[in-house]
Amino acid sequence: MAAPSVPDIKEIQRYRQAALVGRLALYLIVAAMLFYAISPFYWMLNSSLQFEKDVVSVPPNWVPPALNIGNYEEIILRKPADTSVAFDKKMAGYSTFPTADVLPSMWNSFVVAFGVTIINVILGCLAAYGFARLYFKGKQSLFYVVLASRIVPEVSLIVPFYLMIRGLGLLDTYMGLIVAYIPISLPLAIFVLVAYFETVPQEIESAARVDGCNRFQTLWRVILPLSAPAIVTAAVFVFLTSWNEFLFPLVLTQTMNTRPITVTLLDFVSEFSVSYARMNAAGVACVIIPVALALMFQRYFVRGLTAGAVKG
Amino acid sequence: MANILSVEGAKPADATGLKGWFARRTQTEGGIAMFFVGPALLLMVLLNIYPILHSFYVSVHVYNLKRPHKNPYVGFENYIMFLESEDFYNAFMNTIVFVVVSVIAVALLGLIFSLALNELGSGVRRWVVPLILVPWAVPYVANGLIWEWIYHSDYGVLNGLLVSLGVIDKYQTWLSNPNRALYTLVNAFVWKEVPLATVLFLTALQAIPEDLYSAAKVDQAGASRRFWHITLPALKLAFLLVLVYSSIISIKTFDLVYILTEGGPGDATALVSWYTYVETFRNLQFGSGASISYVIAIATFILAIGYIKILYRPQES
Repeated sequence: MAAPSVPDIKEIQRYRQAALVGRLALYLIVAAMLFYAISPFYWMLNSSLQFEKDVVSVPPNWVPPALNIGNYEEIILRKPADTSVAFDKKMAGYSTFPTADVLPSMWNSFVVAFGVTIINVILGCLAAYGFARLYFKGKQSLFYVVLASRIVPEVSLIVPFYLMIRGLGLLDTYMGLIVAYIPISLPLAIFVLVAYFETVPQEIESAARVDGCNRFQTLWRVILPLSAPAIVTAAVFVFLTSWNEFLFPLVLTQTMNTRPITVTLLDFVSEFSVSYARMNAAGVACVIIPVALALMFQRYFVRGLTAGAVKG
Repeated sequence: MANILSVEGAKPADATGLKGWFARRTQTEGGIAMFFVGPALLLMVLLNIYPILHSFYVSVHVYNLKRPHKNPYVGFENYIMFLESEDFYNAFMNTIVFVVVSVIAVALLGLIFSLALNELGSGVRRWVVPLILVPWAVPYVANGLIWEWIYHSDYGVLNGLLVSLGVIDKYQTWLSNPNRALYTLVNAFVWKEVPLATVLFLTALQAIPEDLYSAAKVDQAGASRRFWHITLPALKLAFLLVLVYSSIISIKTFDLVYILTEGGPGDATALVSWYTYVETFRNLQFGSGASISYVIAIATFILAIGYIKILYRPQES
């Protein structure tokens, strides 16, 4: 197998051909991957831009035969119905004509997710500094307890939470949802931040301490400015987790005052749904912000995760 | 405020009142640590540990919302009752199939995707990776909506595509077909979870020093031997993360079932989390619902420990 010292022309050509075939195969695989990841989104968008009669045609229309943005107008502008709904609408036999609760509930999702993000990033940074840089008794086991507590399925926490939130008078409030979402994403925020903080060289911190910085100043002036990728990762992660939450708001919200987009989406997915085109338009409304965030911050995200994945 | 978190040992500890307390607390590193770790820990205890314990309390009582003031203690009767029920057995078997197929598919596809991405030039990769990552970002509810529409038996694009490619000659049912429904769920799940696995594998792949491969080539190791002896061992930790994470997430799968099948047709897609939900919120048996989730949590925990024992050897850390 050893390469001859002076390769002849034919050998080089054969090698080049093999490399070319390899490249082509690689690009085919990558194209298939992209198709797999993106085509479902394309299909939702495509259906949301068609007239109802085109949406239900057989065979399907691969592109809209006539462009129709009316579905979006419909889900945004239609007057909301009375939505003082029980938490399980399907159970109550509740079915409505889909209404224009889309924008208000996107706003609800945003407010709650934003609130949780601020709180969890601040708490996460403080805790991660403690775990990464300070010694205290039982540190390791505490860290694992925090992480492991997320193994318990949400379904089992929902009853105690419902009773607790009701007891605090926070049912159907932003605060109630924020309180419920905090423990869902806090452990992972801490995990990502700890892994990254540990990669900041100890010498930089020692230098700051010698210059008279206390622990808090060290964190604020030295560690945090160096940890932007991890902070962005944690923030995006917390925001997405909160935006995507479904079971808790299903139980903890009752009216459009707080109902997030994930729950509102149910109105459109009913088996007796009036309009598939509008259902897809509502779906687009639900994913547009998470997708935009993922695309915008992806580069940070990969770097922020790297510390944790490579080092553990 | 300057002395609250000051350089330890720099402040006298004899001050009185609140100031003195802070000064004394910050004498040791452990004391300081509590100011950093404390708030998060306190919230996790209040908002996570306490509900978990409360739910254990609920699980050993009869907690029926139809009779809210009669909650007798029944010991482990709730546990025995559901462990003996056929519905639970069915849900349990469905969940095992769902978890095993999903986790294997996520790990395999993630590995293949990341190997392909790793071969790309970094210029192309920079454009491809964000697009691959997108399904990971969307809520499971929207994921369910997207796939429900794709699977639709009358107007779905899956049928349209397969017919126009000549794979099938007439439209099929997917979600309402008992033999296929569980795998349609698996597909929707895998579609969302593969991206994160891909990124985790990819970061591990890119951390492998190029010299290792060059050295192996000098030693005349073929491509497959390089893969088995260099690439795979380097991916061990990523495998651990992917397996543990996707197992935990797949065991908890609930939103997808809610949107796509509601456990149907019949009970073909009733997973344990769905079974718990039905028991809790449709039969309003809070006690028995809580007992089921306890068993799920413990089983998940044991599984996670098992992975760690197998894949994570101390000498590597």
